[in-house]
Amino acid sequence: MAETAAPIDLLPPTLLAKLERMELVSRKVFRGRMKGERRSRRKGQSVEFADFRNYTPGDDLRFVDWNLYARLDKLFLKLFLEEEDLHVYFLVDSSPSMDFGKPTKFFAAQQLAASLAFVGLCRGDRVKVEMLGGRNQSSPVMRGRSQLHRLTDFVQSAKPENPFQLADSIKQFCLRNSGRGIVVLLTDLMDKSGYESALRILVAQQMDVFIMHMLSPEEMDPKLTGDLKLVDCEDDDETEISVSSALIKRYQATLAAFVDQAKRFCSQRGMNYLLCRSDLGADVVIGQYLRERGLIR
Amino acid sequence: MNLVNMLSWWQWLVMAAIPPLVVMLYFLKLRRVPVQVPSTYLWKKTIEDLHVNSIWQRLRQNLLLWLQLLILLAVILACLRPGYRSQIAMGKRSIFLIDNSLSMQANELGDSRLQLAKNRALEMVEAMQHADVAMVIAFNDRADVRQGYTVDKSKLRNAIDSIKPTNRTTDLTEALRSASGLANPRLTSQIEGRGPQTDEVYYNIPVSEAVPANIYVLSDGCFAAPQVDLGNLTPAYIQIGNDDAANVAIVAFTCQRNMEKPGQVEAFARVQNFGLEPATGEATLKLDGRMIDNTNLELKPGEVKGLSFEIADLQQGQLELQLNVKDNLVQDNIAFAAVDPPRQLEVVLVTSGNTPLQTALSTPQAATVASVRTFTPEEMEWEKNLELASSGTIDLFIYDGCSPSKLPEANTLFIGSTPPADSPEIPSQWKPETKSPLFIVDINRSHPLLQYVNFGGLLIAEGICVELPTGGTELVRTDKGILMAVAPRDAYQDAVVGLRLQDNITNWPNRPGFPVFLLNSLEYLGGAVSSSGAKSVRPGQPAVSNIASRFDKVSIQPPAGAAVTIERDDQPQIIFTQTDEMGVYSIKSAGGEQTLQMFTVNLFSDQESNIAPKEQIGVGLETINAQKQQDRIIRFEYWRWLLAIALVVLLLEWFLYNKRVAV
Repeated sequence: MAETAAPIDLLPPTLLAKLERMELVSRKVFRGRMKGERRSRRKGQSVEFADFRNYTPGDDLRFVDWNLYARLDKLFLKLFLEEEDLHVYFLVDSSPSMDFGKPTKFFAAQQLAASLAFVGLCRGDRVKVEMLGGRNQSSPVMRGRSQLHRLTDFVQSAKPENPFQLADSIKQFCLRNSGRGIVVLLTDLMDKSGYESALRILVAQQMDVFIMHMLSPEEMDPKLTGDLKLVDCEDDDETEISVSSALIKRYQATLAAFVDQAKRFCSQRGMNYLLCRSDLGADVVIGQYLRERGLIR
Repeated sequence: MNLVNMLSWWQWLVMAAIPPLVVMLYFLKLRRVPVQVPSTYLWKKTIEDLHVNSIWQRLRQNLLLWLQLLILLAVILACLRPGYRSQIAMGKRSIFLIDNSLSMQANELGDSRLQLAKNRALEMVEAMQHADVAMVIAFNDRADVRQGYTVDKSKLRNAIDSIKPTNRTTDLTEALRSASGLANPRLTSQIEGRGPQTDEVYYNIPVSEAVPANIYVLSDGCFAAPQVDLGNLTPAYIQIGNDDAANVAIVAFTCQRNMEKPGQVEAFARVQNFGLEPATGEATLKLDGRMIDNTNLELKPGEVKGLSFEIADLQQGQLELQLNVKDNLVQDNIAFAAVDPPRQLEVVLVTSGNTPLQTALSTPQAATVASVRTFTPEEMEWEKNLELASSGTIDLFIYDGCSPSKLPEANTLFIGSTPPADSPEIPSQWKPETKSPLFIVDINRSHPLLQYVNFGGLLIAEGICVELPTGGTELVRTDKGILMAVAPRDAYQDAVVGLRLQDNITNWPNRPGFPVFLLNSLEYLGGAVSSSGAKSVRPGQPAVSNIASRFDKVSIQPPAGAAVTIERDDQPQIIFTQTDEMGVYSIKSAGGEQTLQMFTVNLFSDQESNIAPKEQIGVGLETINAQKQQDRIIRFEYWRWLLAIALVVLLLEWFLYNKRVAV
């Protein structure tokens, strides 16, 4: 059932050409680290006026508003908004359950993460990709489109790992990355201990969180017949079923309830939720669905 | 339906152990295919609530198991040999004679006897073995072969189903003759020992080999014993109907004009109770659909009661008598009669010329009653006219002042003359004698000829007085003798009026009573008004009507359905055979609205109305008793069908197993 796509398909040139014209959008304004193209909370040297303040000795006289001094006979300093870079994190669930589907959910997640990271690189954002697992593997912080090769090398080299708990991996990520920014979590949410605690940790970081729920067509519309023993690929848990049309309908109803619950959980906590079928191409998901959700402009 | 145990107790134990074994095997047998899935998380949630009573849930949804149990059930039932016992063992060659006469319409607990007979015949067809052949004949007073010999049961079933009830009476003779065609082949003569010295000896030999057959008469036995030799036919009488059937019937209904009171009609009916219980109810008389009289009825078992009704002022009409009683046969609770309209008469006037007489016969009222042909006495002697006089097609001859050499085959009216003697040697019975003057002293006003005739102011200078022949009736007496009289002659009547209307010897032609007398003569002597009601025939019997010869074509309107047009084809009578429907049939001139005559179709059959089924019937010299339950019994098995069902279910299970659809 597991099938892995060739690395060459990860970012085809046609996709790259489309991605170059895009931009990651955050609904929140964060402080960056370096000069960039995004408006920051810091005051600095941009062309965009922010505020006035009283002059104090030592201030740069170039920012004194001389027109105001002429009218009020007082010195005021003009403040401008600073433009800085943006932190964008891509967290890819690399549990064995992601290694299913045609193409696999993991490959679809890799492609989406690489594509969105490339958009960030093109706009000068600080991009970091982290493969969630028992021991998180994270890429170095990348900036600028010259880092594309490093990005693709890292993403392609990643493989689905051993089972882990999503909450533990998220916690590790948050401890290591205190900076604020956009977090895109690509996961199937199939964690028997529950995904809620993991997402709560992200919400607590006050990050702009996007949950991309990866599901394969085989999960959404299972083509199973007969008397089967279903074996969980992560914990070898077994479930015996006798497939009938009634049972398939019940399963689909359960899946719909699960998706609905995840969507409601996310929207109640200010997170963006998007259901992604693994058989939809990255260009469709990014160009259509993510543009509608506002992550991409 | 009954069962026959085919297995011993230990075999049943083994059989009973099989179904639980199959169910147990179903639990053990499940060899599930392992399939790796990303997560069993959602699947577990899906089947969470199914875990309650999971064993039964599993069984409930397992169609294959149920199908297997169904196969086992069919096999177990087959081992019990279900079947039913038929009371009749069918022979190799059978003939079903199904009675569809009127008495078979009797109601037996919701079904007609005919339906019961058909059901019984269908059962017998089902009881036939594969090589048996059968024939179906429906019979009433004639036989109708619905299906010739065949082994095809569906054809036999269709033939039996197609038998419809009729209103006819019953006669088994023709049906038996039809049935005996193959069983009793016709004979032919063969000469043996032919030679000059030898006497010729004739032998009767059959034209073909006789094929014996069983005949099954499904009937209530309400018919007379047919005089038929059964020969190679083996009869069986299957009695249809219950002995306690109640029936009250009209066995006669007719009407008659009161000739002494023109316009008044009397209707008579005879009602009989054929049941074993007293019957009460009422009889209702309707005229043209409108109720005009009603009377209560109380009849003891077997009692016959007469009913009479008087209807005033009726020229023509349709009468319907209906019995409102609760019985098993309603068809004979209704009877019809009709009062015919005045008939258009054919009258011949023999005269040398008589203006008052011709004027009186050409009044509009006289013209509606009669069509008059006039001949002189000389013309009347022509051969053609003599043939006419003896043909019987003329209703009335009027001789004015003359007398024929031979009296015609019709009623006659002599005015100023008397009928001739039968032969020249014998003097006339009337003994005419001319006398004058005459004064009327007595008038027989009760006679129809003198109804409403006023003789006031009548002057008679000279008249002919006659003597009354044997059986004659005196109409007018004068001081010198009888002036007017009427006397019978064979089947006819001769009337004499001793007044010559020419030469002014009487003023009667100028009196109002004269045309009235002539009209009375047309109606009475011409028979324009029939004293009896319309004819009645039984259903299916031909109705014969005498219609004036000038109508070449007539249309007959049956009680229901479209009118039938009939051409006379130079026949003196009209014969109509489509008389299956009971009711009043009107004969009209083709294209006209005027009713010329009517006739009715009524059952009036003691034999059909006496619906108590007969215990035995006679055929020729044989007496056949009704078949009873203790006759031979044959058993029909269902186990083959059960095994066929099991096979079909097995195929279905195989199909489902391979398709794996909604298992």
